[in-house]
Amino acid sequence: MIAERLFDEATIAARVREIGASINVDYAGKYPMILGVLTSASVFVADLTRRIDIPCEFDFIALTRYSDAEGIRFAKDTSASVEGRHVILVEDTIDTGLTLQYVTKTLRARQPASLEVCTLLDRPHRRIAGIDVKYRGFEIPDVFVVGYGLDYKGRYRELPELYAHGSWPQ
Amino acid sequence: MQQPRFAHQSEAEFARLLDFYEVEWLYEPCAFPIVRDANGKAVEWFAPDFYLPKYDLYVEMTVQSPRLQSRKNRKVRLLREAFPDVALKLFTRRDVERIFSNRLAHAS
Repeated sequence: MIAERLFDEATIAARVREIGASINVDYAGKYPMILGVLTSASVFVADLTRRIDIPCEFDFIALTRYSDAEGIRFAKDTSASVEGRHVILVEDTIDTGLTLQYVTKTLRARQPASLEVCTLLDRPHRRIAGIDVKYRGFEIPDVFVVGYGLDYKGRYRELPELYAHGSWPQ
Repeated sequence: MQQPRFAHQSEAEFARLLDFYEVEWLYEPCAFPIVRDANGKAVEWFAPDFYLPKYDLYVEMTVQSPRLQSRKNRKVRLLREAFPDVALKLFTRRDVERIFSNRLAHAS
């Protein structure tokens, strides 16, 4: 059950445009690699890359789910090497920061020229791992968010706006 | 590694979460003197549930009971007053459940 709308289409689009504009300036002449984390960041990556008007490349990674007994791993790795590249890692939400900590540690071991983090949503309430976030869409309270690529048990990804769901998945 | 005897299921779940992320943790590794008598002798101690060396962070799990929550909040307040440089995060059982559900669903 969707409880309330957090951010409408226009607000999201405006923020994505601002982040894109910052990336255009910060990465001029650097041919950055926009690296999205599947699946929830896919819509954000699609919109963000269309607001970046410098040459760039985009790619995706996926991570194992918590139910995987072997611990966190890349379920899908990058298609191209990140060595020597200016990588912008794009997440949908940062919560504890533990996922991002793992991903950034893994990517840094591959020696990119630089690695920065961009997140659509930042929910700092339960942050454990300190993460430097260069580009942040919105800070949100302790609510479960759906829409704009984010799902609740597979639903609501297609919604163009961001909503607070009335409950958390069990 | 042999698991310690956790006081609550939520602590065991939190340890499992940390293991998943390959985060080193210690269970109740030390106790802080939070109340001293007039002679400076420690009369009350507080041992946070977890210490995460990588983040130099202590984590204390709380239960939902208002009475116990109140006692826990008092200990946390005293710890922060006596040791302002010690980083301590207070997690409720609901926090742990939400971390799990979030990770199972789409993010963390």
